[in-house]
Amino acid sequence: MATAELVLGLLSGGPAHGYDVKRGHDAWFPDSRPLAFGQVYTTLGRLERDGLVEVVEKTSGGGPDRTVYALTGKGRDHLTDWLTDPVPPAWGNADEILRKLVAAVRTGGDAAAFVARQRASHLRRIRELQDNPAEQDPTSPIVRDYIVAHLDADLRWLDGALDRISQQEVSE
Amino acid sequence: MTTPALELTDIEYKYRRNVALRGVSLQINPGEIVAITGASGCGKSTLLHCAAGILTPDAGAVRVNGQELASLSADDRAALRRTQIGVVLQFGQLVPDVKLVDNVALPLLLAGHSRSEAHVQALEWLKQVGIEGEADAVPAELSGGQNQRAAVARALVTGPSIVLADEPTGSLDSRAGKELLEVLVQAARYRGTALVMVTHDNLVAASATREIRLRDGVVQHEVVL
Amino acid sequence: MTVETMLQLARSRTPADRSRIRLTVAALSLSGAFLLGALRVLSLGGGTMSADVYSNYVAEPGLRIGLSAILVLLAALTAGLAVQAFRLGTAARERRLTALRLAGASDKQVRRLSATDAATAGLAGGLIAGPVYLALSLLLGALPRVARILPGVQLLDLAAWLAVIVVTTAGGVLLAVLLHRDDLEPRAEHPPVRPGLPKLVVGVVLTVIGVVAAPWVGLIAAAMGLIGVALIAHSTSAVWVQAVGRRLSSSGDPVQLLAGSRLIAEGRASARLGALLGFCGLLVGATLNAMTAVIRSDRSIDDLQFYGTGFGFAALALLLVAGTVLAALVVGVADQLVDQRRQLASLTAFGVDVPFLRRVVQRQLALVAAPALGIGMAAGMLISLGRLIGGTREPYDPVYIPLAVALLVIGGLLALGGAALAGLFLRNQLKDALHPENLRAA
Repeated sequence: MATAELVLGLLSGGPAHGYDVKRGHDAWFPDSRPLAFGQVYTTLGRLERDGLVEVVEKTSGGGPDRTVYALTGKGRDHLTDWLTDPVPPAWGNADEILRKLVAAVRTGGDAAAFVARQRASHLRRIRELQDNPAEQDPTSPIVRDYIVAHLDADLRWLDGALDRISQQEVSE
Repeated sequence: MTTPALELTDIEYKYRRNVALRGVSLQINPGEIVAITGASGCGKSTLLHCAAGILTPDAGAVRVNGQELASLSADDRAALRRTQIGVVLQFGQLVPDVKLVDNVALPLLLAGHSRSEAHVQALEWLKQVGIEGEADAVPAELSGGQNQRAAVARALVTGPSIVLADEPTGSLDSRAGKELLEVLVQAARYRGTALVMVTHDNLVAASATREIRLRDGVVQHEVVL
Repeated sequence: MTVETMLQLARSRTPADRSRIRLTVAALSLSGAFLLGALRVLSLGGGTMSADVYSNYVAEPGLRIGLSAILVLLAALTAGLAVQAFRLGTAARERRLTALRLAGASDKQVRRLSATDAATAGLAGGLIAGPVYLALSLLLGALPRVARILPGVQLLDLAAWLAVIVVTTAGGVLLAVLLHRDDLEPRAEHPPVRPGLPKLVVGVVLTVIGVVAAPWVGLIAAAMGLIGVALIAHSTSAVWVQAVGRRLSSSGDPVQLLAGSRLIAEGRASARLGALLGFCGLLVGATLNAMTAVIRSDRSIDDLQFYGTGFGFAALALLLVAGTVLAALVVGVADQLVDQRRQLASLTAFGVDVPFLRRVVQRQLALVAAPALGIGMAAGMLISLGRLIGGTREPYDPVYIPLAVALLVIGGLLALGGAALAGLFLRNQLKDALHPENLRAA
């Protein structure tokens, strides 16, 4: 799961409390399930252990909610790398693409370039699948069709996303 | 360095009020398969028509195998188009009252080949695209998919260095579209012809090795697939 | 391109194109026959011939020139008709030529193809002109003496025939060259009809000059006047077609709505043919006016017979031309039906059937033909032949006013009848246009 990278993205705007991170996440994905507090704190703890975030302020008597976290240089590099790589065009990876795309737009990354790379990755996958005919058993062609149709759906959604992103760039 | 099969430099094209292309440059290498994508109205069909010499751009240069179209006389330009460029449109490109074999043979007939000679090649290409049995039918008697196959055969019959296809599967259902795409790509590979397809269909774009995406008359991005 | 290829590709085999070529050939052959007649009459030279055998028009050298002039005029009118016929179905033909261009034909090759097409039509017209002339002269020879305006056929006519064949063939090529367009861009769906105010002004000026100058410069003024009237007819007809089309397009009645939109879509052709129809009406009206004048004057029976024959033939010929113009209008509509068959067939889903479409077509035809013919004939009666081609300085006789009103009605009714007849003639085309087969993609 990419919750860790999302938390890095949410901190990229400046140091914040765990509570701010949760609220930021819920604002980024308005129609999705809210991020649980417990998950925020375990993620922040893990990120701190790995040196990707650091504690910059701790109020006295501090429970976890009184701690302010900030991105480290290493954390920022990790975030950038994550936003650069397209998601492997595999089954069930669409959520990950959405996370990256939202994070890229919200953190001021090159979202259009990300979409272009993601499209290329998907198109390449479709071509590979088309070049290798499915096995002639009862279910393989069905599975193949499923994958291609979903990749196609992702691509159409990415098309629309690209248009929106370009429009925002123009209107800004 | 090899000469590009097709090279467009700063192409601009205006319809009465709408600017369709505002400075598009691209290169297509011999044997390459390229998809030109973008939303409706982004100028992709106009670009293809400029490349095919159907439209004359307001500014910029079109070079086919290094020959600039504008520098040629009308006759030489027509001859170049006839021998070096094949065109496949969405539909309706066949001459309605002419038999399929003659329709496919047309570019050769126009180039002055004898009827029998042209027919031999036309029949061979009809076979290549899988409709040799319909040689004597006229377009109205056949399905959309069969007509498009004939259009593919006609685009390739002169052995052009580049085939330009504008939404070649646009008028077909997904199965017929998929079959036509296979025929088109295979025919292009068989001849080593560069193929440029304008499409909004991702499955068509996926058969390309490069995607050029247009937006509002400019190249938005170009990625290798 | 080999000659075989050229001949094969030049001839389009669609039904619409075939009927277009047939009509062109028919008009050209008639034109050629008139030309042959004119040449034959002229070849008689200046000598007087027996008025017992031949009509006075042929027998008297003074009248001979006039007769040949009228024959030449008729030849020109029918040639004009051939031009109109040839221009029919432009959209479908241009689509075909575009398809040929897409297959790699150069502009020069496309030009050559359309020239070949027109040249073969011209050649055929010229070839048929001979038999038509022969039939015409035999037919007229069987009529009473005063009506025998074409002297019998002689060997010299064979040479004239050859000349006529060359002329019609060359005319065909010229026509194709003049009508040809090089640009590949598809034309706008609805070519706008230009109101053409300058044309109207020029027309009025020419007519006025023609009428005023008539007593002094005779024929030149007459020609100017006629050209002026033709220009007026064309520009008003264009305005009419546009105005009526617009008005009907916003109507709530589906028949009116469709008739209006079709008028606008084919505005140019409708305006052109409406003008021609109006012009013919004008000449018919003027001729009828002259006939009335002769009948009302105190002339001998012989004289009446003489004038009556001349006017009768003139009016008949003009009605013939008007009928052919109407036919051209019909073929135009048929062509349009073929052209829009896909859109029309889609309408069957909304309950559009053949009788409905026939009403649309009849309305469309009547809206152009009835006012053109009625007003043309009435105007001809009011203006009179004398004023039209100069010379008359007599005070105006009010008796022509009720006659003009009558002609307005008669002309309109004739056109309505023609439109109704056209609807019947077109029933197969209407049926074809609505056939579900047309709904297939391309």
